[in-house]
Amino acid sequence: MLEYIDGTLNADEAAELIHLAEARPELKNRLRELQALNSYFTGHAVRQPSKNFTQQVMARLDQYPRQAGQPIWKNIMLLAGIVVTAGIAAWLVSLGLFDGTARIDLNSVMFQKVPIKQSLPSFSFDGKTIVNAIIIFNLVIAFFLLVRTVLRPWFQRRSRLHF
Amino acid sequence: MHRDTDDLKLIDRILAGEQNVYAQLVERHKNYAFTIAMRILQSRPDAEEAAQDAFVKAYHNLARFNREAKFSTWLYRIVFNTAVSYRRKQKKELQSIENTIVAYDQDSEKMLEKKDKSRFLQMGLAKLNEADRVAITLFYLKEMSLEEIGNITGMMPNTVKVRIHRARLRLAEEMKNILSHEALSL
Repeated sequence: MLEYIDGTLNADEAAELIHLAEARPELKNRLRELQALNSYFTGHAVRQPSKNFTQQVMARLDQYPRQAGQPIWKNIMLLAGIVVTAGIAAWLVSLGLFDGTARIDLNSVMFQKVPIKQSLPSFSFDGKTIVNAIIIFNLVIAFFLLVRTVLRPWFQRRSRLHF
Repeated sequence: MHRDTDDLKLIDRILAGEQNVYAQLVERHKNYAFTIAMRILQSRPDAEEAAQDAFVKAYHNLARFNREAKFSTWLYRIVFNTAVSYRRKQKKELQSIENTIVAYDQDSEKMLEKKDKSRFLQMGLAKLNEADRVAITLFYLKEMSLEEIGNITGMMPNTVKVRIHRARLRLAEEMKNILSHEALSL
């Protein structure tokens, strides 16, 4: 029926469809419904925007691109800073600067002058492990920053405009 | 064909520095661009905003238009993608059919038969998904091939054909239900 409405049936096929529709009221009704939809849609498919649409577009041409957040070069600078810092820290770790264990005794730190009844615990820190953890944390932040501010916008621009 | 050549001539002038010539391209394509945005967003203010945004994007990327397809197809692809992005950012849901009825009733009591048909058609279209709405709209504009419609909506031409076919049948069914409901409620 749609092909008949679109005019893509040959003469014999169209005649057969009409004959069938005449013999079966439900088919005839269906054909009428589809024809009514087609005729209305054909006449009213296009909508019109406001009268000053073109004016508004021309006024906006110089405002593009909108700065939604930081400029991309600032994000790249931040990324570079994180990577350089992580690199320096890793180099210092490799030199053995953070080897060894430090100990913090809470008794001497918190209650130097006040007598206490029960001694507080003390904590030991492996400096190398802590610095490595900080380096990894910073690299994870750098990765997310790279994806959100550089890679994603770039791929989005490419997918929208490449044809 | 003649119109496509005219578009390319205008583009050459714009790229040479005549910014104000872009207004002619906008005038030529604004109706179809707005219609596509309207079918996706179903809100006039949002569709205007999205269509304008798309034209601005197209202007600033005119140098990247590779001329392998028609300018209109390239532009409408940008409009389609922009409107879909706006659609995703929208917090509100699509108006339900009940809300649509209330809005029209509040707007005017002097509804002409033409406006009634338009309202029923919008109600029927609201039942389709956005890709089908756009595909069926572009089909009825009768200026694009299935391949061009597929390029705009990101579907294969065979998929476009099937979807348009199903969408037309579904729309006819929805319109029948809507009109029956309207008749019973009188």
